[in-house]
Amino acid sequence: MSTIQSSETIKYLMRTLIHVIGRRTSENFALETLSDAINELEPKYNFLKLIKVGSVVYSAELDAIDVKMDINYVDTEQLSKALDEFLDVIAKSLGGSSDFDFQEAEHFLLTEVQDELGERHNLILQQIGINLDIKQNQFIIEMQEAYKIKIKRMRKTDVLDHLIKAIILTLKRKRSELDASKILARSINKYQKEYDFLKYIKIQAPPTNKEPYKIIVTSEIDNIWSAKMAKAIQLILEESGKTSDLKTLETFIEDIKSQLGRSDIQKIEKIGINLNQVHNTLQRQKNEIIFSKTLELLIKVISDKTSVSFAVTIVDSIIEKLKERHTVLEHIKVEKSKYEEGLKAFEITEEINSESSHDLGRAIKNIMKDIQNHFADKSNSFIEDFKKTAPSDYISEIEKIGVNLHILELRKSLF
Amino acid sequence: MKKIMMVDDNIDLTYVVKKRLEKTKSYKVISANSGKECIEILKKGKIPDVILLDIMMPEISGWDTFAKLKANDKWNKIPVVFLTAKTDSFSKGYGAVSANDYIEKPFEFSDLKKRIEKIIG
Repeated sequence: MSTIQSSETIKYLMRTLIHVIGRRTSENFALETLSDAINELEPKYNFLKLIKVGSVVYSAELDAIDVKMDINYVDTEQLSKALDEFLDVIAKSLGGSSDFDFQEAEHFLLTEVQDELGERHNLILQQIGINLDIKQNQFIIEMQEAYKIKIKRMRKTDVLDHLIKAIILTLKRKRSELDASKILARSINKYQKEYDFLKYIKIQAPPTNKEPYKIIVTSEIDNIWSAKMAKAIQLILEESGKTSDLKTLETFIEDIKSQLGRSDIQKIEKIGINLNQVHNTLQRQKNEIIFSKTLELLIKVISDKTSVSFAVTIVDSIIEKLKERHTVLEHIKVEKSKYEEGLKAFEITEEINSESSHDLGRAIKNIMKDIQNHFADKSNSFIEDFKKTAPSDYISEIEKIGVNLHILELRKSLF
Repeated sequence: MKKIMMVDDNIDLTYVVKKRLEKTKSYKVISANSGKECIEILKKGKIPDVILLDIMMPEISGWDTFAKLKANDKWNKIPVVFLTAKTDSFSKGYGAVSANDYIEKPFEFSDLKKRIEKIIG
């Protein structure tokens, strides 16, 4: 049995509360909060008048808390009830207006108070009937419930609408608004089969090809389970991000965040959309993006002088030929019936991202060499054309993985 | 007897080449005056041993006709020789990457015959 009396522990609890609340606000505010809570509960629990909270700043010389010894004779059950409610009133005054904010405030208040009280005083509180451990667990469960309700109640329509605008603004930096909206519309369409609720994001094609697509989030989306929606939105973000050039890919998510602002980002995160995870996934998809850009450029360069379907035929035949030497190319599939559709004829499987980027570089180099070797004599027309078409960030990115177009030109000039 | 399909919108040229090749008694020549006709003939099951393909043709170009041949599992093994007036380095280069040979117009008949022999004997 502890020799500490209830009065001593209550006094210590009050001091701890002043310290914990005061740390985040001010000690004066803490004293006022405690005093108000006692005043509120005093009519119900008369014995609370035995606790005096002074209006002066707490210091070692002048104790702001006075707990009369008589409190030791109060019925434990009544004392326990009063202290329990007292903690609730304090948490309520610290938290916001919603249930969730109140429970969150109480949870953190209790954690800190419990830590500061120490084992001995916690034990006395337990003897009075206040078990901070149980109280905390109870709040965690209540918080989780309140959180679920809060998320359910949160209007996802507005949040998603802001996110869509932010994606388009980010994509627009490097292309027209029409193209930006097309990319997003395509990304949404891609996942509509898998996530049926994406039909609540309406895509309206423009009447003329000068205006952008209209992408409207309808209120039905508010009823969709957040976790499922978060997954779909992350995939759409990844798909849209992949169309960025390699330089803007690095900052794609950061740019979206800067368009959104803090409050929207918090709401997005509460739905469960993890923007950092999207960023990391995009970084891991670099091989896929580099090879996709390579295909796109090859098709563009070759088709400018021939035709799209012919360009795809050439690229396909070279990839097939080189697959034996470069296993990284095994991750490239082609659908022959889609030759006329250009880049869409190719499918790059995700596994390419687990290959070494230098293996990919070697494969790209040999594709270039193969085409170039068919040009007569010392003609560098193909590489020259490729260099003119390729954006500078792509050229520097392939140089990092060992594809130096200048050396390819020199090599051809020498032999 | 080996079968050659000549695809060219220049009817006079296809006539002359057909006559001269058939005169050798080694080849039978099927003429098609467009890429579309070439595909229709192939669809009927008339599969040649080699296709001489012009590039600049109306409707479907030689490039697109080539792509259609390569996209079809029944036809993609047929050797193709581009026979064209396109002499720029790109056409020659890309033609050489893809086809079995690239012959520029105008050409010597003896040269054409030699290059066909090299492919199909």
